[in-house]
Amino acid sequence: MDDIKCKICQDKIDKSSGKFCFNHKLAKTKLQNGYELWLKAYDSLPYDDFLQRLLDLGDLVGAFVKDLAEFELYFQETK
Amino acid sequence: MPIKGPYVLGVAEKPQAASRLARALDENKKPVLKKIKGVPVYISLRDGKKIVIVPAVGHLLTLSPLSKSWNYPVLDYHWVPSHITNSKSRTKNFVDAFKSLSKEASEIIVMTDYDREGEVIGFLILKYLLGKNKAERMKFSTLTTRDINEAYSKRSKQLDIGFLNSGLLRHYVDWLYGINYSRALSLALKRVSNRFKTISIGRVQGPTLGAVVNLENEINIFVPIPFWTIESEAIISKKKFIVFYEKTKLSKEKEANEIVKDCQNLVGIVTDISEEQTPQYSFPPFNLGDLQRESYKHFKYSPSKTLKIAEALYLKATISYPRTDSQKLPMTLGHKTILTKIGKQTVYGSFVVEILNRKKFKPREGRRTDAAHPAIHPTGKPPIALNSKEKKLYDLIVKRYLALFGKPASISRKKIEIKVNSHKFEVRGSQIIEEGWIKYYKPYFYMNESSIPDIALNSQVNFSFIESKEDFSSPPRRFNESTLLNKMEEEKIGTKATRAGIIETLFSRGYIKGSEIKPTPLGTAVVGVLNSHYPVLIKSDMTRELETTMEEVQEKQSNIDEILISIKKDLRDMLKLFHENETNIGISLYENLLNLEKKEPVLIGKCSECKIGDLRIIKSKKSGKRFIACSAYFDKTINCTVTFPLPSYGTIKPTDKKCPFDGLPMVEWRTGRTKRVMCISMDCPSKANIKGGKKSG
Repeated sequence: MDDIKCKICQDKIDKSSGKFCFNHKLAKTKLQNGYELWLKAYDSLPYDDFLQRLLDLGDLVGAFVKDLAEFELYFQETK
Repeated sequence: MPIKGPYVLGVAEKPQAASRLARALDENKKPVLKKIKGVPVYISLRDGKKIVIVPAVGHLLTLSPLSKSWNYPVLDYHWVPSHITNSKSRTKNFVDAFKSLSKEASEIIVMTDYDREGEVIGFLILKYLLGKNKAERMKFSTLTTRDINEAYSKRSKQLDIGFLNSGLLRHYVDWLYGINYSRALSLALKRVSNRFKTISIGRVQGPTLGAVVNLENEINIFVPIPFWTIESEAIISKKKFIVFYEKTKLSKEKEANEIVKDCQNLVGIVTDISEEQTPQYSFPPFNLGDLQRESYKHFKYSPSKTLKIAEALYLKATISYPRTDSQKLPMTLGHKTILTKIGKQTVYGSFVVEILNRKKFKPREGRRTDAAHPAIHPTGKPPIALNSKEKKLYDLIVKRYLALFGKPASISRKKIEIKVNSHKFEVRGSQIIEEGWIKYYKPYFYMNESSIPDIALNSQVNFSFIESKEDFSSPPRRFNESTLLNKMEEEKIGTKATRAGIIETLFSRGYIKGSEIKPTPLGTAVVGVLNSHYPVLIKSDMTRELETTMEEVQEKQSNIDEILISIKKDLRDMLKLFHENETNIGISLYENLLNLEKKEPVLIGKCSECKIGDLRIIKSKKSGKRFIACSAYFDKTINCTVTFPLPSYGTIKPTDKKCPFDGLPMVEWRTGRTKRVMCISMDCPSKANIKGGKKSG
């Protein structure tokens, strides 16, 4: 059953993403694009630091992005 | 006692309007008031004729399906008195009053508000209650004696066909879309869940709700991006000034740090000074949208509240008809007379004297026009017996009107360019040199003034600091009622008269909530389903096209039968597809709704302990028991551990009430037929008397 539900919210997964629902899949794309811009801005920044700093920004960060950042930082077995 | 005929029967839109019309039309300004089934009916005498004026209370008739079955598509309808379909409607006596007076009426004059709705109200009463097909029409923009008398003497021989047909078309189309899609969605949900819930969606509601949900989706996937600004302060003639760096935003930290390093000596040279005086013209006259925005800005009145207050002012004859798009104020309105009357009110007296002392005066106008009415303006009638909200709005309207006659304001803007090494900085100042119209529009216009002292070119300027500051881009702002109204105007959905009501309907149906508007789980679920199956219902294109069609019908006075046949055909095709897909739509609606309801935390109130977090109902994943906990528990810096136990059975709902004993929030607990509103604390004295010591229940 687990493979058909979003790892974060247990909604139905979006087939093209394999692991996330439609909203969290969109958030993943935005997060990846965002990381590229953060890298350019700071010259160098480890991915985990990026996620931690995002979470520190509180309400500026979208709810789905926050879910994903928490998931990737704390719950994902292999990054 | 019946009223003896023959008489001219006047159809007014509201009782207050009927009273004003009767007083203005009566030769002695003293019409006789009679009551028919409690409905005030006025008898005026004029030129030897008896004019009997009867009010409606807005629409007395409504559309109803011909078929009794609760299914879809519903494409056949008829007009019936509202009290037959809605038992709460208090219109029966008004319907009876019109019917009783129809027999002896020799002529009919429709005296409703001059717009689409007014025309439809008059036509339906004429056709279905009075059983006639011909009436004369009075057209007026204010309820002043002057305008009413002019409208009477220049009344047209028939109703305005353009307004009438476009008004009727709007009713038919909105009704067809509303009833069919609401039934279709409700039945789809019932089919899969056995749960009946009215899920309504309308032609204009859909795209408006769609805009709110789309914005929320955008906010939900927002990733802030860092940027840097250069913050600096210079000292000129011993005064401190904020200085702006030539680039407002820098996208790289390294670049920002290099600029600060380059400027570390904190000394610059004045390389350019410029000063210019520019005229600033007053804002255009109010149309309804502008009035609703300005009223929200200054008084925080919602668009629907502003419209309601403006209508009350119109019925008191103190302002002109508010449902207008126009920003035009033709000279034929008699501005000199209006101004002279306004001048008699002490607060505006000195301004009016100034305006009237000028040889020429003409109000500034905007671009937008309206076929039926001029821009909103005061009539000059003294504002008697206004409540505080009406007084505020009246003052705003009068001051806006006076400002239109004011001279342009003159604003001086000065810039000093300072170079620190190769980097350009700028000090900016602005000052009002001549107030002009601003004087009349205070306090509704405010400008932050700052004057910069004189300084010579090539002078040295010292900075107190030049620093870089890290910042992050922000998510788009949620709509408030005023900006949502703007969005509807931009997208050309709805009309000036209906937009505020649509927003109110979305609130009352539980699709949106909050002053910073957020969609509810229900609103999100409905848009989610429509987006996958019927995107046309939440996109503005179809609604906008229909608005254009209605405009064309109004202008060309075209027949609406063919348009209706084509709309019904499209609707039938779309609903056929819906029917075939009903189970899938129902499943997706039900799943969306369940998922979102699960995710939505139930908030009880603010935490009284940490004063930061929200108290919300949590269900323990381990034990399955529910309890109230503070959201700040998850905040590392606060870690608020406040919890309150909850009964293990029954439903719990938040209330707005606070416990009189300890000030904690109260919840509603319901099981079977038992309902109790109680404090969330187990130790509250209010629970001491509960029998059997069962404090929790």
